[in-house]
Amino acid sequence: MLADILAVFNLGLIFMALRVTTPILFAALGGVISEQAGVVNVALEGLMLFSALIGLFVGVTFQSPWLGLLGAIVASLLLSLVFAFVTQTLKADEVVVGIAINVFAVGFTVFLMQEFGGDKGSYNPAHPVALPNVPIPWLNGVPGLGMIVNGPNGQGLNVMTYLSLLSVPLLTFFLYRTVFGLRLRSVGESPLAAASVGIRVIRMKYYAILLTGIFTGMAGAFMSMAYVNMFLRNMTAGRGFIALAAVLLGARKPWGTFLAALLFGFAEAISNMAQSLRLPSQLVTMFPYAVTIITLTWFSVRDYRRRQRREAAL
Amino acid sequence: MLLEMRGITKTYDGGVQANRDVSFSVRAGEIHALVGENGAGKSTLMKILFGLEPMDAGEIIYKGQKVRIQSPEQALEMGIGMVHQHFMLIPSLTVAENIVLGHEPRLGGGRFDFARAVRITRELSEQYGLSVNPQARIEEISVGARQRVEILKALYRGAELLILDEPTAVLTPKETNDLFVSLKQLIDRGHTIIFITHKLQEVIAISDRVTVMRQGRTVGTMNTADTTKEAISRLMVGRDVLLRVAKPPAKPGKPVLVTNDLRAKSDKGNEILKGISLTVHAGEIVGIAGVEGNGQSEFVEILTGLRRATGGQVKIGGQDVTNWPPKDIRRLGVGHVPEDRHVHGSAGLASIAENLILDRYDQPPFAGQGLARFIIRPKAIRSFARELIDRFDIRAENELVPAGALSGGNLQKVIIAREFVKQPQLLIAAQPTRGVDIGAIEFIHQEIVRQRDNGAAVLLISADLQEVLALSDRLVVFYEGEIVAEFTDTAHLTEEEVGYYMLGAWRDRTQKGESK
Ligand SMILES: Nc1ncnc2c1ncn2[C@@H]1O[C@H](COP(=O)(O)OP(=O)(O)OP(=O)(O)O)[C@@H](O)[C@H]1O
Ligand SMILES: [Mg+2]
Repeated sequence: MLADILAVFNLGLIFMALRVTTPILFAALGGVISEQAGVVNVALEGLMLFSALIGLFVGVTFQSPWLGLLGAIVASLLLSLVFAFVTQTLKADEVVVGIAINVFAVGFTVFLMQEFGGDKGSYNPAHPVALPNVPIPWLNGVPGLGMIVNGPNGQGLNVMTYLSLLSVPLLTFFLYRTVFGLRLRSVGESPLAAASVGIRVIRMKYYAILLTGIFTGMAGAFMSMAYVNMFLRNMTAGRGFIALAAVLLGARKPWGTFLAALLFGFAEAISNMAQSLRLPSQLVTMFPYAVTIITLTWFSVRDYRRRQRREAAL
Repeated sequence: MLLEMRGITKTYDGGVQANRDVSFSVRAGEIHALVGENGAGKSTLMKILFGLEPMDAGEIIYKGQKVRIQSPEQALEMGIGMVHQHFMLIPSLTVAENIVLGHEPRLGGGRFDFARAVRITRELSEQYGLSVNPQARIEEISVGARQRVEILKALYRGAELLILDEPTAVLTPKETNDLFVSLKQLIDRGHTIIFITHKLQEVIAISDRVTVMRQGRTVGTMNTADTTKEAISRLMVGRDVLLRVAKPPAKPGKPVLVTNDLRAKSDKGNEILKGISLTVHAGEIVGIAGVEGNGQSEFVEILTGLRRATGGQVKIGGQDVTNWPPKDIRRLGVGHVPEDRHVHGSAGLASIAENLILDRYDQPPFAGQGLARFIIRPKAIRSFARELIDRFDIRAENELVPAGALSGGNLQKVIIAREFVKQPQLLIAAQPTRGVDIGAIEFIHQEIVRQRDNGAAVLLISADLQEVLALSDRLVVFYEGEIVAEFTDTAHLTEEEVGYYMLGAWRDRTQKGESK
């Protein structure tokens, strides 16, 4: 038994973890942008789910995963625009609107599936499309690394996985090295101070919400055109919320969020691999969520203390 | 005239007439002080000039031309800059980033040129003699340094006319002096300054002319050289003001507050209190002098239950209350005027009435008894509030106005009213008159003395040396978490003498050369 459990921990686990981290990481990086601009964006989950289905529709229709990816991003942008308009222009509460979007996404995707696929539970296209995996055969020569990047069957990690990893340094650069990033952060931290030097606060928040939309669109595309090549009712299964947890755990910074997303990815990978063991399956599937709750609790206690300290310092 | 404002009238949405037909003019190259009671409309007038608030009527003539100023950007373009009463800085960003924000130097491709921002900051800072560390984060630097950042920020944007709204309210005496030196340098370089303050000695010390406002109107402009503090205060308040506290000798009774070797750690984890033993008796005012950051705030936080002591003991009225929760400590009859009226003193969104019953909402007559104590009685609360508004001269439309909409001085009066009306056995007052006008200062000082004479033990913490010297019957000096001096005869004490202890130049000497 113990040997079985230990067998889960091998290099294949890393490969698996990177794979399942991808959608969480995309959504979380999107969340970082919103959070940095002072927008509480709990709509990540709904944005992902909505763009997963629309992306797949577009991809299947044109038989091109790339157009599918584009479709997913556009879908996510449109829904984000609604979020931005209602919260920033009409000044509705961000959390309430975010929840509304999540609820809408579940219902609307089911409705669409039924209308166009005739099935409420899943949309399983006859000719699915898939974003390609990118094997790097020459790395097979490097002990260990080959297994991590190419996997047990040598199929390679998905192109979106690489893109998500690349996004981490890119976003860091964007937030901390560009004028736009500086303004975005200042708007999030102190809108009044930012406005007093002529920065358009509302406009910046719109930009941030739309940028988040691009990332949740990529997350959605990965779900329906890489993770699996179909759409299932509520297939995001809380990943948007786990991503939100990663943002908070990572202190709203790209690298920290990356590490947190990776932690949750590992939890999910372990749970996936452990399905084959003779453990109670409820326990196993609960694992990633339990990890999320525990780390998040620990973090919010820490964050609360820190915030008090900052308030005291000012 | 560099600037003329004529017939400025402004009514806020709530119906408050903040400016009524105000005329105000400024000459090029002068320091012009603007004074007036809390709520007189000084900030409002300046916000109109800076394009933050629209005016209902009136005209502004700047450099000989009639102008319309509709936004801060427009004001800045014309060369008008403003440093607000509450700082507009972003705590986690560096000094350099804060200064250039909105007009950032760029490298290609939208990249932010941090190196150049640092260089710009350094050059500006040398040019105007306002020393700042460009790479430090705002949250790490002192209040005085933040003030300098705000001024540099305005200068970077090309401000020629600089509006400073109560710049000295939060500064220590030393920082104030430094600021004055810099302001003089600014004048030498051809700038013009409008300076709002409640401290009349500052008006005398630095301004060329002074304009007095009362209840939304300007009541006079004078050459500072031709006037006196008394004359200015009479114009401000409309009657003679006692600038010195009238105070009969104290009759100390039994000890009320006793701390024994009290120790604590700061938020950063270093030892901030290193064994404070202090006793305050009924019927005396004990003052704590000290440069901010030497443990006074933490000391008060422990006494009031807002921070845990790591060692030692606090006794109030004979009870050991070390590390008790705040509510239980308050129930013993402890009044606390916290140093930050926004963070710990009041709830900004709640009404004046609600703020006035914050620590007694569950007691009669505001709530019933038994199970009925969970139900509050709005009528009782409102009539209580109306009474206090009247007695403490709180200037507000009515008792339902949110506390956050009050001017600083009026908000302070709400807190004073709440804490004083319950006749505490121990009254802890931290910076009770910060940002408060002289009429209100007189009132608060009288109330503190009255509390003492009614038998309360009073602990007074103030960065304003004149205030502690004037009010205290006994004075201790905090330096790096220790009491380095204690004076029992405050009448013959000079500011200089106390200053040496505050800065750590002298220590462990008590009065008359006795060693401790
Ligand atoms: N945004 C606002 N909405 C409604 N009323 C306001 C607003 N700002 C100020 N007031 C009211 O206008 C009046 C003038 O306020 P102002 O801030 O100009 O006074 P002040 O002279 O600067 O006082 P202080 O010395 O306390 O800063 C006060 O009665 C205040 O309550
Ligand atoms: Mg003001």
